[in-house]
Amino acid sequence: MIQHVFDAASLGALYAVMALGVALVFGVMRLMNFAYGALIMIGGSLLRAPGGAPWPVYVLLSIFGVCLAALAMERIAFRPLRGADASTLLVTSFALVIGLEALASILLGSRAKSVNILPSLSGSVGLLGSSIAWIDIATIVCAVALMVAFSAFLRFSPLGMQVRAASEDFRMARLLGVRANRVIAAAFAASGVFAGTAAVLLVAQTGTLTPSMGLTPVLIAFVATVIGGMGSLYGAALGGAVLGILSVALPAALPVGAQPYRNAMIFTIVILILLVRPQGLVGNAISGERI
Amino acid sequence: MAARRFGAAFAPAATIVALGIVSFLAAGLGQKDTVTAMLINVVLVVGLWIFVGNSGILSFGHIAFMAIGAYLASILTIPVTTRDFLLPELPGILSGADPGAAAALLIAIAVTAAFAFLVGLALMRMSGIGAGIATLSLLVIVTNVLSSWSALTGGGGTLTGIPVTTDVTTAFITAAGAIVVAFLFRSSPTGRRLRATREDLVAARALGVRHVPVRLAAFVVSAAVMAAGGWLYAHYLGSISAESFSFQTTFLVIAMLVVGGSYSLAGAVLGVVAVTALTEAMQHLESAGVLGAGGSTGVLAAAVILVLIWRPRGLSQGREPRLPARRPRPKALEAGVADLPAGHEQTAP
Repeated sequence: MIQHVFDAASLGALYAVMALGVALVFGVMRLMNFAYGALIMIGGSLLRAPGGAPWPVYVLLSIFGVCLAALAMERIAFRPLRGADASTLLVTSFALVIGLEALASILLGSRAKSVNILPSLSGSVGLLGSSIAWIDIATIVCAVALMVAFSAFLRFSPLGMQVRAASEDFRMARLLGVRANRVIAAAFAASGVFAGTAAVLLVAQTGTLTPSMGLTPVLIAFVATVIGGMGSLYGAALGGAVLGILSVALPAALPVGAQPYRNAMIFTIVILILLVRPQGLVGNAISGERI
Repeated sequence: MAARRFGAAFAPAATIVALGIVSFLAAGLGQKDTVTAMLINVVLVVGLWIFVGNSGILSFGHIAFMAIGAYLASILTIPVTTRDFLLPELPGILSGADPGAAAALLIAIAVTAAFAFLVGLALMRMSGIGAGIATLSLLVIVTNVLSSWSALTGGGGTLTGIPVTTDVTTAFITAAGAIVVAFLFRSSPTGRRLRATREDLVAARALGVRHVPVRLAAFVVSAAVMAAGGWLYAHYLGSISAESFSFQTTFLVIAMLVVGGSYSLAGAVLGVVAVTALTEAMQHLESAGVLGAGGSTGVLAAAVILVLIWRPRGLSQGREPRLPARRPRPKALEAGVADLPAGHEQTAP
């Protein structure tokens, strides 16, 4: 039982980290950034960079590299398209994923590779008669620390306040003097930090690396963002946590015959949540279209 | 009035004729496989356009309808003896039925449309990105069920033994049919109401348009066309697996639609032709050794981004092909507005 609780908490924390990165960019740009999956893939690949440095170097390199990649992505692909249709932006982000995945399979090969970056976390610890994996504990601690730091950034730093203002009403924020380029770049950079962290945690958990490793996380992050409440960062984190808990709780509760249909059930619940609360779990009624 | 009708029918007719010329020319040059695959994509993209182009709601879930149509049509056309061997646990009605190719297609279309109707009752109430995520959920649910329900689909493996009947001609006829259906839907009162909700939902509702039924109608019609696309696809390859109806396929179809220009039907078709031509050219370069393995995908992705930066509304910029407009002669312009025939507005030079 305790093991299930830790599994759920760790998965929920990981999903919340993923969702926050997507929600940030969605908040300021109304862009569902599929290229977030490519960022996670880049983060994973950087963990395999050559050289025998100690693991914290790789972790920092990965997070920093992803942050730079996110900034480059914004500058090269999305800035020229500022103000275009939502579907145009979306397909641009699709194209980025496909292109970067192709690049990764040229550079690194398309087969799955095993990575063991944090060997000290592969063990587990006994707690009240059940064994908890260290990596689960590390995931929860990392995610919580990152979210606390991020929330302090949003609350107290001037740039954080501008990001919040832009998420609420981009045009109004601009009228009040918020610089669009700066705030969007900030959102992408922060989104890169989340993607990098998610990549490190994900690779540490699964131990494998493939060019398409980002696809499932990014889909989960989208779903979490939307059921949590679009444009609300706390909602996105909540949505991620809910999805994580569902993914652990459902298999534990389902009879064996229904196990293969786990994803179908999770996504049926997602549709039901969207039907009952179209504005998301946290969003309020005002976030609908204003006239 | 008759002239205007003709003018309205010009766009789909021109699209079909142009598509036919390109297809049969390329097929004559020995590109039969590429052309067939392209025409199947035309059916899928036009099917998606019927919903996305008219409603303005992006759907990630339409490949689910393609999958259902493909599986159902395949099960019904695999010869009964082979079917007993491949899918021994098939429910009674399906295991013995041998309706023939045409009826199998109609059954697949009807069942898929009925499924879309039931799902749409719930999904069409949503708008914007919520609707997008809900359709994405639908795709996950359908592929999950198809790959797990082994009695019906043979499970996660590949369903083989499907008679290979799709060729350039059947694919072209189906594509032309899809374009006609899309055109008829767009010109119908329901299609017009739906586009009104796309432009401004609040204003359209204030004028008495109920958005859920009109969206639902488009959803069902487009699901039916997707099912026909699935039927073509399955009978082109001769084998299908749940994985072939993945997110990758969804991406490709949406990209073709947006690159062509999602607001016009001709744009949807143009997008397929352009992306197919580019993919083919890149693959030739790749096999000639100019590009490394996987390089063609990279170039394609870069090309898509460049096209969208150049034309954010797609290659067609949302316009349909039109007959060249008859300009008023310079003399008439000099004579002033009063001399122009009634209803003939003077346009800025």
